[in-house]
Amino acid sequence: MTGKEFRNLAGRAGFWVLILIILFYVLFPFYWALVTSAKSESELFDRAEMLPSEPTGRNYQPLLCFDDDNFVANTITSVLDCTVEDAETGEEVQVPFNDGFFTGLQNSALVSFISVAIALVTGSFAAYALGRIDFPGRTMMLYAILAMTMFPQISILSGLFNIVSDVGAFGSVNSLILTYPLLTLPFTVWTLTSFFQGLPGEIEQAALVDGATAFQTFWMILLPLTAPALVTTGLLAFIAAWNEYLFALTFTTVNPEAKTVTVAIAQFSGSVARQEPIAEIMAASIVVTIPLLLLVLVFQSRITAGLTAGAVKG
Amino acid sequence: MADGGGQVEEREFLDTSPVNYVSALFIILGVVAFLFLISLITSNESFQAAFEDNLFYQADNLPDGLEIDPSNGLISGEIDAEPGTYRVTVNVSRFGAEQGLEFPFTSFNWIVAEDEANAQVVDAGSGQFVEVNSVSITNPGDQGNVIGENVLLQVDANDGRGAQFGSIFLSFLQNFGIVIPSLILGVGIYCIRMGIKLYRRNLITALWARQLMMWLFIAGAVLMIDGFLSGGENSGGLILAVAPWAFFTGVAWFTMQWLGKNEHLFVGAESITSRQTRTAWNLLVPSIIILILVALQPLEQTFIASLTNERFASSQEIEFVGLDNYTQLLGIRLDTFPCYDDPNAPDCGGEDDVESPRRYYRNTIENYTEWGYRPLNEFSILGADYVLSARDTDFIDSIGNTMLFSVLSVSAELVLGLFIAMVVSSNFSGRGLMRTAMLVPWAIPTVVSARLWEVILRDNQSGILNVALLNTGLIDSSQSWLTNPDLQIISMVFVDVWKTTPFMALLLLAGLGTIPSDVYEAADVDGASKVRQFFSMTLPLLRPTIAVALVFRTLDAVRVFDVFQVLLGGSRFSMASYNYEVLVQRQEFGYASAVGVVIFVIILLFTVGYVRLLGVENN
Repeated sequence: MTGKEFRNLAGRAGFWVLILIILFYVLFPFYWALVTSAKSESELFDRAEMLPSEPTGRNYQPLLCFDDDNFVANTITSVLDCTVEDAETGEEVQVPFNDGFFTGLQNSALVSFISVAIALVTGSFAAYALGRIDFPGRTMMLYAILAMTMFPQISILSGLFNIVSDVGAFGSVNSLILTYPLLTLPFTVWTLTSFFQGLPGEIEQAALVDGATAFQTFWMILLPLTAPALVTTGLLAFIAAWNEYLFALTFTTVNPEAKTVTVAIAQFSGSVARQEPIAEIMAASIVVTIPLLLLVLVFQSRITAGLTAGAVKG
Repeated sequence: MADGGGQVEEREFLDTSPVNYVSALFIILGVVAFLFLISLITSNESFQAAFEDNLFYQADNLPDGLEIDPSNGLISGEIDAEPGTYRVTVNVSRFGAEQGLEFPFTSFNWIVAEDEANAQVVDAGSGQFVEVNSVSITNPGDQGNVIGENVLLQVDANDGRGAQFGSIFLSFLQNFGIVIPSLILGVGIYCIRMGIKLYRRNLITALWARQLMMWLFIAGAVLMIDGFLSGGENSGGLILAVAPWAFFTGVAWFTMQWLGKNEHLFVGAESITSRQTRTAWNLLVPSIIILILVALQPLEQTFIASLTNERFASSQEIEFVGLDNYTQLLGIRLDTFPCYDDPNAPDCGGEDDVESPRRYYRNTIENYTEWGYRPLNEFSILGADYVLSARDTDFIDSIGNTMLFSVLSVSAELVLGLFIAMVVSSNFSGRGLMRTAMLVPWAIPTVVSARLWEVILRDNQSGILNVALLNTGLIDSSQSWLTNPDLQIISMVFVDVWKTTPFMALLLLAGLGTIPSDVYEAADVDGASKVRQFFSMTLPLLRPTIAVALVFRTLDAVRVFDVFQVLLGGSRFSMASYNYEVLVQRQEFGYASAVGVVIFVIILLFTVGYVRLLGVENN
């Protein structure tokens, strides 16, 4: 083994140690949520152990056991054993399905997708203007858009409430579609603006020389080049909308059908009175996090596939 | 020859050109905008109410000899009682006009003058007239000497404040704000200016006019359609107010379309810059609509409310208090307390004698505690002792907490995020999974992650962090991560860094992706070391991305709420959780809005600093 080979090997080993450290750091609390979710009520306050002594799927039952006869439902039933002993009769009965949680998942998905679509479309338009065109009023617009999120959410809540009731959206998911641009748009605009600024000017000039209009240049040439930024901001905006709590709690409080999943989780009531059902909350958090992770897994390969693909030659 | 003839022909044509009509149309449009604003203001009932002074007092069952003046509520007359001060024991309630809530009141002072009972029933607390259900008048010196019982006094007025400039101004702000009227006014002035410029055949003006009309027409049409569809109470008024606007902008827009085919009627040519500027504003329109529709009013109302003493669930009159909320929030002062003056306190500021310096210290600040200052911190520099005091010590504390938290967590996140982004951006198998795993903390809902950390940080044997650290021998005894004041901020930073580093890392990862790889190839050829490449190439090229990431992380850190609220539960505040406390527990909407504005200003300062330092602004 030559010196150089050893250095390479040591470097690679060191690299994988780094990866492991990062993985441990980001994943351990998640693992702990998983461990907590697999504990029974009594075990929650016992001495902390790395593995639950008797892992139970009980906390997942109300979240996943839908009473239906199809492949998914049957698989879940076979894994989780969706029955529970009735306290009075002692008979095995089907676990009651938590409808609110499921409705919440659907609402969150709907609201998040629409919010991201709005943010990306309007945001990329604005960002092209702010990033590629130098016009009077540009700096003012950048700050005006950022100002949308510069107040703490709680201070603008009453003002937003007035708007939401004025347009008649109070108590429906429309209220969230209306207000979530406050969270997603400024971030989208600023990020995309900085990415548009980073693109080399030659591309655009070439397009303009070839007779393309400014809008064509933007839509057909520059936008595809910012795909990594679009994916990144889209993912971050999606997660922000999916995890939002305060607006959802305030604007959908009157209508259980419009609750999002975070509100549904926060309103879990435990089987034991006045005690927070922490294990069930952890189980729910795992269930809501997994769709997000799948989404990231699908889109992550696009994150760094931009200019490196050879947009500019020489 | 032919050219000259053409010019003459054109000039002749210009004199009777349709452009003149278009320019007249624009001037009319400007006037319509003014009329629209006026109709908007005059048709608003709640604003009109501010002008009215329809107080009407009525008292039933008054004691013999007393009368009430219906216009001002003055009760006068002669009663069979000794002159002196009488107490009116009241059992009254006041009704909030809209909420229908009851607020109990305790007592009012009714002063009977020498020879006549001459009084107004005034709420001793707020000094405003109230609706009184029943009044019994007794002499406090002689229990049971009841002068009148169950007097029913009614104030029939909307709020009883009458027409005053302050209240009219405030009512205007609350009903319309500043920005919307200014916008309409601005559009009006702009239209008239355009009319004049069009008359001079200015091509660039014409092109801008066409674009403005298109958007105004679309906005008017949408408002009209919305008015028809919703069919609510106010829709008739809205449609009437919008109709002329939509009509004239529509006509103007279609006229300007004609212009597109007749550019030769105008003078001048459009430069590329001007055309690009128009494109820019066109592209910004969707964002501007969202800005005006969703963000403008709440932000503006927060500013306005911060200048008032508004409270929730209270029918107390809202008054314009200027900057009082801010002086209360931010009032701090630094005083010295000279020890040598006090013979009883030789150890002033020292540690072994706590009692006497305290006493002396109280004497020192006696004169300003009257102004509402309370000591916050005592320290000595170069032998002199100082005391820092504030009017709202909780808030000044929360500023300190938040700033410390923000600086620590954002800088840790930047370093850690950059590190993770660099590692993950390199090519290795399992990269996709790694990137997904990296985002796990960010993906867990904030509502849940705070609870999760509460479980991890428990100070008993079920807290895994304490157990793990004890087992490895890093600490000797279990730490109270969330209740020990020395550890609280560190714990908050730790939790926040874990939660939000993925955000930073993902943004920086995308930023790294836009750096063309040939830059590095060139550097490799030149023999630059990797470390040197990082500092002299990666960092500078990543600067705009870092700036944006820092702006948004700082924005979130300064507004931090969930972790402080859930994990510290009011034992220590961040600015936003103090805001929540003031708003929800104390219900002081005006004061809480001022807190919001202070947070806003701090974030703005940070943002401008980042932008200036790292330059996202410059192309």
